[in-house]
Amino acid sequence: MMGELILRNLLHRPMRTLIGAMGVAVEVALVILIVGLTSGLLTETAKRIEGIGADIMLQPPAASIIINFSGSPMPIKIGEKVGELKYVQAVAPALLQFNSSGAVETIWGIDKDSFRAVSGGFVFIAGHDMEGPDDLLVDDWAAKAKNLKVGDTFNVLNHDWHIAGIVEHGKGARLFVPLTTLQELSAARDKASIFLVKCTRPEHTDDVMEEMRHLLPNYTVRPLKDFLSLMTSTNIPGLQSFINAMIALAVCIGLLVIFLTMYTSVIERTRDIGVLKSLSLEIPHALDLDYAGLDFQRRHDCAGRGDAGRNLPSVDGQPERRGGGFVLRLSRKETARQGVTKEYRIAEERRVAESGKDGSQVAAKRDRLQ
Amino acid sequence: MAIAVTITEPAESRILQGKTSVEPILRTENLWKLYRAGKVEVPALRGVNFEVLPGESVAVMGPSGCGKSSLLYVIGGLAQATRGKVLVDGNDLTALSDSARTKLRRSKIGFVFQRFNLLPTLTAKGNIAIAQFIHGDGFDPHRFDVVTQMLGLAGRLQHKPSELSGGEQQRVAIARAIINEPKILLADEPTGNLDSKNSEIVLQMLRQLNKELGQTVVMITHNPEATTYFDRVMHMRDGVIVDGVPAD
Repeated sequence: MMGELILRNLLHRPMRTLIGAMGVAVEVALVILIVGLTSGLLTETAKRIEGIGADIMLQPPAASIIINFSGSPMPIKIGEKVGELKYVQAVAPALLQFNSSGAVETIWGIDKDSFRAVSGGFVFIAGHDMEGPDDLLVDDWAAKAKNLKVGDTFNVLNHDWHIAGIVEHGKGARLFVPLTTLQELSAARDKASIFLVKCTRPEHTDDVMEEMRHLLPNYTVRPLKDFLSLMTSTNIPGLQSFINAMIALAVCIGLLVIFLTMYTSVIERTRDIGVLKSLSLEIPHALDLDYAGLDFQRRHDCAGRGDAGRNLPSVDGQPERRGGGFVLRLSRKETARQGVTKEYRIAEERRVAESGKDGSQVAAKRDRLQ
Repeated sequence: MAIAVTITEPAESRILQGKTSVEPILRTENLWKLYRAGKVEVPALRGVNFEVLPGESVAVMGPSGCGKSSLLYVIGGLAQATRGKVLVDGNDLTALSDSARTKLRRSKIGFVFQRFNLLPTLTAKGNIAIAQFIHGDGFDPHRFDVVTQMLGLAGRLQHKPSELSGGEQQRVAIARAIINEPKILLADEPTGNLDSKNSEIVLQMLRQLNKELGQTVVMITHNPEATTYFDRVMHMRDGVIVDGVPAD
């Protein structure tokens, strides 16, 4: 019954119900979107870095884990020194240039030979490797998103690039250009943003990192196998605060919508609430309504057996007062016809006798009502 | 074989039989109700004393603003008294918490209002049945049938309040009030929104409830003709009861 009341109230003002539901839905969707988007971007970026296949990444001192914003402060010759270390198989410099014109993306300037030595090379879906200074490699996702084909000209960083090949995604960036060209374009000649180091065997990673820290004190040396675990919102300065602020904003907006809807409903339904109060509804009792529903079922079942589930003697022999008043009086003939239990009759007679009522008066009253 | 039944004898018959020691089902002692309007206290009830015996029907009359409705809401536990006592079947409402008062009201008091106050989203059946659910016994189809047939509502149960006439709505309200068999039925001008024909039907039903079933009824009314259906009429003025004589 209470469920029916709630349902009918919701249907009574369908537009308001819809707006209220949308308010909650938008709030939840915003929270999910913000958290999902940031987490997804971080995870995807981390997987691409890990997917390069290098063992170690070298960054400038105090560099952020967000390598896209690292700039290009390291001399390229550092790579040569690192390459001389024991257990180092290959070193690949990369210059990372952040681009926000047209789209937010990072272009990696790489030396194709050293990058191949570290990563094992690209898997080409179409075209071939970079050969000229203006050649550009694009991964399949970016090619699909930007609708690029091999042979197209693509303008980025205010420079026209020739699409030489489309490669499988997951090798650090989505756009790759020759290192020297990007150094010229960004006025960072002989500079690199990061160095990717491949060890002769993965077990030597710690030894190489130790030597690199000794060779280049204060520089940031990260093992790439842990890169994914490091790319979390808590490790990104300000990101967690941003997420929290957005979530708080979304929750506030959602709650305001809900409160406004509730306030309007309460104002509009003050009389209904008063009616329910006059019927003695209270919150704890409302929680018992499930029991009431079960009880209804039980009574319904009893009614099918003819005793209507009413006025049955309790364990101490005294009848429960459920419908034991005027309804019983009005329906006594019907009850008798349906078959009142022997136990009930005995209990009722005992109760009348014990209550000290004058039996003749009761009988007279009964006869008068009949 | 005879079936023993519990019958509440009307107070009148007990008094006529010399049994005057019947405990009142409702009694007020020096009952005060003050409303605050800013810093000003406006007394609605000024020391009301009266008793209602079990099975009695009492009409309360008086001019607008004399405190009739305040009296009804205080003795029904919907409003808290400022001072004094309200004894319902021996329980002092003024000493009870809001929760306890609600529980007591649930088992002992039924309300009928002037404007019917049915829930507009539920059918007539839902409006009556919800009182059973709130009472805690769950839906009792047998009791439901007895009450709705008695009040002539059997054919109108699937209609919403907006589809019922005023008289039918008030009968649904009466059914809702008595479905749990309260000891006292409190009616606040139940015929105030009805035409004369429907008023008579409702008043006859209240009298039937009282005379044939022993239901204690306290009704507020402006209509002098309505008082002829009641055992006793009390007049109120300026928050006090000025008399209470048996009606002719």
